[in-house]
Amino acid sequence: MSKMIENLSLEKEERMPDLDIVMKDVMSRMDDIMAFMETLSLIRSSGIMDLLRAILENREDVTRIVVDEASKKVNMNFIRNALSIYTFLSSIDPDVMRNFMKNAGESLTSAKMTKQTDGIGIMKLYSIIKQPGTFEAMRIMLKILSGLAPEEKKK
Amino acid sequence: MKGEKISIMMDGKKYEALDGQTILQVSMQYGFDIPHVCYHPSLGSIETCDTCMVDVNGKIVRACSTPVSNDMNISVTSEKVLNIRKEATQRILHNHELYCTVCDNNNGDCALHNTVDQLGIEVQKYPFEPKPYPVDDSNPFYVYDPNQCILCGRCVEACQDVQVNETLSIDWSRERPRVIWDHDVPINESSCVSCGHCVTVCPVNALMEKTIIGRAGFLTGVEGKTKRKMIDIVKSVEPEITMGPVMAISNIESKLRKSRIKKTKTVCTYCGVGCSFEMWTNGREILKVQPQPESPANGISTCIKGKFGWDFVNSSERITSPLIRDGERFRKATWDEAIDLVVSRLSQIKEKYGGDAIEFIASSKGTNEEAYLMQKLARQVFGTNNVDNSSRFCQAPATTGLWRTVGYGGDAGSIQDIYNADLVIAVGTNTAESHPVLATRVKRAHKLNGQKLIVSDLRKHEMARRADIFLHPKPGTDLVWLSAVTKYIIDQGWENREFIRDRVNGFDDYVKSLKKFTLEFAEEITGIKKETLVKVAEYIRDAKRVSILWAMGVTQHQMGSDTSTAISNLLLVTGNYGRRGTGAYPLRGHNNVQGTSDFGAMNAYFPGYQSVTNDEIRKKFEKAWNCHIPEKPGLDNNTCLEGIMNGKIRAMYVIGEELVETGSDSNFIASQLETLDFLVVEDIFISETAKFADVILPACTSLEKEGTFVNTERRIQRIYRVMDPLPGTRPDWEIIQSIARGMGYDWDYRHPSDIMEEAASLSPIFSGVNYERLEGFKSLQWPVSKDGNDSPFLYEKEFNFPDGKAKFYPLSYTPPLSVDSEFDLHLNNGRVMEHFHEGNETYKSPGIKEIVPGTFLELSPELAEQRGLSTGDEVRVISKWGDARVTVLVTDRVSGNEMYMPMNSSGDSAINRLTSRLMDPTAHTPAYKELPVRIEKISGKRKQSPLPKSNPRNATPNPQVGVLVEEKWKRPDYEELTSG
Repeated sequence: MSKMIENLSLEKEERMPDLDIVMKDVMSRMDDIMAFMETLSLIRSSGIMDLLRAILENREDVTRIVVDEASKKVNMNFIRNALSIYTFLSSIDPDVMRNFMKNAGESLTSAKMTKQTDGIGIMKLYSIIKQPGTFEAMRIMLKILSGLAPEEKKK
Repeated sequence: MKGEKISIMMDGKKYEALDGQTILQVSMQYGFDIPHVCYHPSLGSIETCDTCMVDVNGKIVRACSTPVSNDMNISVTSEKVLNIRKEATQRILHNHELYCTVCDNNNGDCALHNTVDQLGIEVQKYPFEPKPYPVDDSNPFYVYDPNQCILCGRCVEACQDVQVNETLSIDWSRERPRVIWDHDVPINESSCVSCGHCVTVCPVNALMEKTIIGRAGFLTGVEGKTKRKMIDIVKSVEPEITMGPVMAISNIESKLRKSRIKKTKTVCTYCGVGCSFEMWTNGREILKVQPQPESPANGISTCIKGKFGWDFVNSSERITSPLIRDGERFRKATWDEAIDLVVSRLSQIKEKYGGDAIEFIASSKGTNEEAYLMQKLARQVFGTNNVDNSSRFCQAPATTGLWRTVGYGGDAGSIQDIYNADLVIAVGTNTAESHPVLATRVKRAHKLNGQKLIVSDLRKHEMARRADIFLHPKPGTDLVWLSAVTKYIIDQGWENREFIRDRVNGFDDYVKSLKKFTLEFAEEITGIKKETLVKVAEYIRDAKRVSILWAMGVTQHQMGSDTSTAISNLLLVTGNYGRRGTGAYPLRGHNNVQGTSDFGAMNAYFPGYQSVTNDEIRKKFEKAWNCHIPEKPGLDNNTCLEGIMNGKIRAMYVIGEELVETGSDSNFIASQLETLDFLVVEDIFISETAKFADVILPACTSLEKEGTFVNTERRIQRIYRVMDPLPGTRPDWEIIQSIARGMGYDWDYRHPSDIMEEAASLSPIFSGVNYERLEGFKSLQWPVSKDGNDSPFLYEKEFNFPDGKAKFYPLSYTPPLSVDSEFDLHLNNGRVMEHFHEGNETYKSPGIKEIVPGTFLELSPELAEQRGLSTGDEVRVISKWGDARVTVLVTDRVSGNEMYMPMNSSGDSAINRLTSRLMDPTAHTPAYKELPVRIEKISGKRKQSPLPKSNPRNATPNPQVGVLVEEKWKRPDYEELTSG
C-alpha cells in the first residue's frame, strides 16, 4: 500500500566523503574565490566577456565587414586623406610647428581684441608687413601657396 | 496557363519562369537581390513598402505583385529603379528611427536594415518623426512600439488572413497611421489570442517578444536613458560621417550576436499539429520562438502555447534528483541508487508474478525513440505486452475506425489537403482551441477560397460560429446523423459508384445496415432537423473534395470507434479518399501521441502496427531481440487499472503521464495506485501520479534532448537539443537504457539515431527513415519506403488491405449514458486554447495564467436564469462518481442543459473527479464525454468572472481582408512611385 505523499519537502542528500575534502579546500580559499567570482561575474554581466568571445568566434565575419566597409570609395578617400595628414604632420619639425601654433594662437587672440571699427590704411598695412614676425609668416604662406601649384608649373 | 514555362528578359539576359510566378519570385530564384520589406514568402505581396520596384518595358511596377509574362523585358538593376527604391526606403525611414546597434532586432534578419544597407543609403532624406502614440506593452508576451512601426502591414496580413483572428488592422485615416487592435483598444483589451504571428513576421522592432527585449545584443540591455544618449550622439555626427560606418558597426555587432544567440530547430510539445520552429536561446534563457516559412506543418504559424508557453522548462519546480519513498516523504537519491532500486524491485515482481504483472506506460510527449525503447523494455526485458500510451485516452477509437475501413490508423493526407478541400466537416472538434494552428488553415480557406465548413458540436465555439452549417446534435449521437446523411446520399443515387465498385468491399451489407438510419430516425435521436441533414448531404454532393476532421467529441464516447467508422464509411460512399484534398483526419491531441503508438508502445502492436498475434511478425522481433514475447496482447493503460484491482498488475512504470488527473475517474485511479507493490514515475515535475510512486526519476524536457516526433499528419520530424539537460535530469531514453542494462541486457545506444536505425530495420512503414533524411526542417510522412519516398497522402492507388480495397463496416447505434432525474445536466469537457490538459506546464507561464487563471463551468443563460446563478458564483458539480467545486461562467457558447468545463485544473476542481469507468468496448477509451451531473450552488460571496477582462473571448474582432493597401494609396500624402 503506497499512500499518496503530500509532504514534498526533501531531506538533504548525504554528501560523499571525497566531496567533503574538496569543499573544505574550497572553503579555506573562499575570500579569494569570491573576489575572483565577483570580478568574473562583473565581466560577464557587463557583457565584456560575451563581446570578446563573440569577436573571437566571429573574427572572419568581423574582418570581412570592416574590410568591405573600408574598401568603399568614400571610406578609401577618408583613409587616404587621413594618411596624408599623418604624412604632412610627421614631416614638420615639431619646434617650427610649436612656434607656428603658438603664434597662430596669440594672433587669433590679438585679432579678436582689435576693435572691428578700426580701419587699416595702406601705410598701416605696409608697416605691419615690415614687422619681422609678419614678414616671416607671409614668407611661409607664399611658400605653401607655391607648393599647391600644379607640378608642371613648378618646373 | 498557370505553371506553364515562359521566358523573360532580366537585365538583358533570358530566363525561364513559370506562368503565375511574380517578378520577385523569379528574380530571387535566379539570385537577383531585389530589396523587399513588406513582402514575406508566407504572406505574399502586400504592396505597402514600394522597395521592390522594377522597370518592365519602360514602366515602373512592383516586383512582388506583378506576374511574369512572356517576353517581358525587366530591368532589375538600372540607375532609375535603384533611385526609386531608395526613395521608397527613405519614405519608410520617416517612420522608423535607425539605432540598429542597440536594437534587439539587429539579428541579421531585419528587412529594413538589410534594405538600407543594400541600397547604400548614406543620408536620411526625410528625417524620422515620432508618431504621437505611446508604446503598448499591455500584453504579457509582446510589445508594440508605434514609433518603430513602418506600416508595412505584415502583422495585419498575418493576423487577418493567416491566423484569421482578425484583430489587427492599420488605421490609414489618421494623420499618422498606426496598427490598431480591434476597434482601437489596448492590446490586452482586444481579441488578440497571443498567437504571436504578428511578432514573428514584423520585419523591424515594432512588435517584439518581451523575452528578447534587452537581451539580444551586447548593448541592447543598456539602461533606457543611457541608450537614448548613445543614439543621440551617433545621430548628431551622422551628417558628417554618413550612415555607412554606423551601418558597418551594426553589421559587425549583428554578426557577433551569433555567439550570443543560439538558434535551434525543435518541434512543439503541446498538441499534435507538430509546429516546428527555431528556438533562440542564450544559455538556458529562452529569447524567442521563431517559426520559419519552411516549417512543414505550420509555416510561420504558432499558437500562444507554442510561441510563449515555455516557462515550465526553467521552472524551479523541476525535479533535479531521483527521489525515493521513505516513509511518508520522499528523499533525494543518487541515480545509481534509484536505478538499482527500480531494477531490483521490478526483478522481484517479475520473478514472483511474471512479466505480465507489470504495466509500462510510455509518454505521448516523449520521442519515438523513447517509445520504441519502452516497448522493447516491456517485451524483451520483462516478456510482456503490457505497454501502452495515452492515445488510449483520446484517439484510439479513431484509429480503430480507420483500421476497420481503410487500413492505416493515421490521417489520410496532410494539413495542406485540409486547406485544399472544397468542404471541411468538423465533428466533435473544437479545432480553433485544441489545434489552433491547423484551424487557421481551415479559417483561411473558408475566408479567402470559398471553402465550405460544416461543424457538428455541442458548443457554439469559434469554428461553429464561422460554419456555413452548424449542427448541434444531442450528446453522443453523431453516429446517427452521419449514417443518416450517408443513407440519404445513397438513396438519392449520389454515391460514387465507380469508386465503390473498384475500390471498396462490402457495399451491399453496409447498405442493409443503414436501413434504420432514416432522416426521421436521425431527427428523433439527434434533434437535427431533416431539412438540415438534406442540406448537409447536398453540400457533400456538390463538393469535389471533402475532408472530415474529428477529435475527442467523437472518440471519448462508448461509441467512439463506431462513430469514427461512420465517418470513414461516409467518405468511402462519396469517393472522398485517395485524392488530394480528401480523406479522414482524426486530430491527434499530444505532440507525439501518433508516434508513440506508431513506434510500438501499444499493447497489441509492435512498431509500425505489426500485430503481436501474428506468429511470423512476433518471431521476427523475438529473433532480433533474442527473447520470447507473449502472443496475446497485453493490458492497456486504461484497463490495467482494473488489472490492479483484480490483482493482475502489481507494478507500473509510468513515463510522463498524469494518470491520476487525466485518466477517467480520478478517485478510482488513486485508489488503485495505492495498492500497487511498486510504482516508478518518470517526469519533469512531481505530478499527482508521482505522489504515489516509490521511485521518481527526473526526466529532461524535449528542449534538452534529441529525437523525433510524429504529428497528426504522420509527419516524422527531428528535434535538436536546444540546451543542456538541467543538472540532475536525464533523457528518458537514457533512463530506460540504464534500467535495461541493470536488468542484464547489453543495450548500447549512443544516440537516438541508433534507436531509429533499429526501429526502421524492423518496421516496413519506417524502412526509409533515418536522421540524415530528417535533417533541419526536413520531414517524412510514413509509410516511408527504403529509398526515402514518403506518403504525404494515402490511398491514391490502394488501401492498406491485402487486396488493396477498402471495407465498408456496418454499424448499429447504442444510446450513450444520458441525463436522468437525479443527474439532470450534461457536462461536456475539453481544452481551452491557452492551456494544455491539467496545465502542469502552461500554468508555469505567468502570462498564460494571467489570461486564463483557472477552470470554470460554462452555463447557458437560460440554465443560469433557471438556477439563479450568475458568472462568479461557485457551484458543486456532482456525478455518480465524484464531485468538484468550480466557478460559473454564463455564456451562449453552451445552450440548454448542456454545460462545459475545461480540463485545465487539478485538485478539487479537476474534471476527472467526476468522470466514470465507462469506456469504448473496442478501443477501451474512457467515455469522458458521457457525463450526467447535477449542480448545487455554494453559498458565499460571488467571485469575479473566471475569465478576466483581458481574456480575448470578451472582445470583438475587426475582420477585413488584408491590410487594405488601397486606403494608403488614396491618402493625399501618398505619391505613386509606379508608372502606367
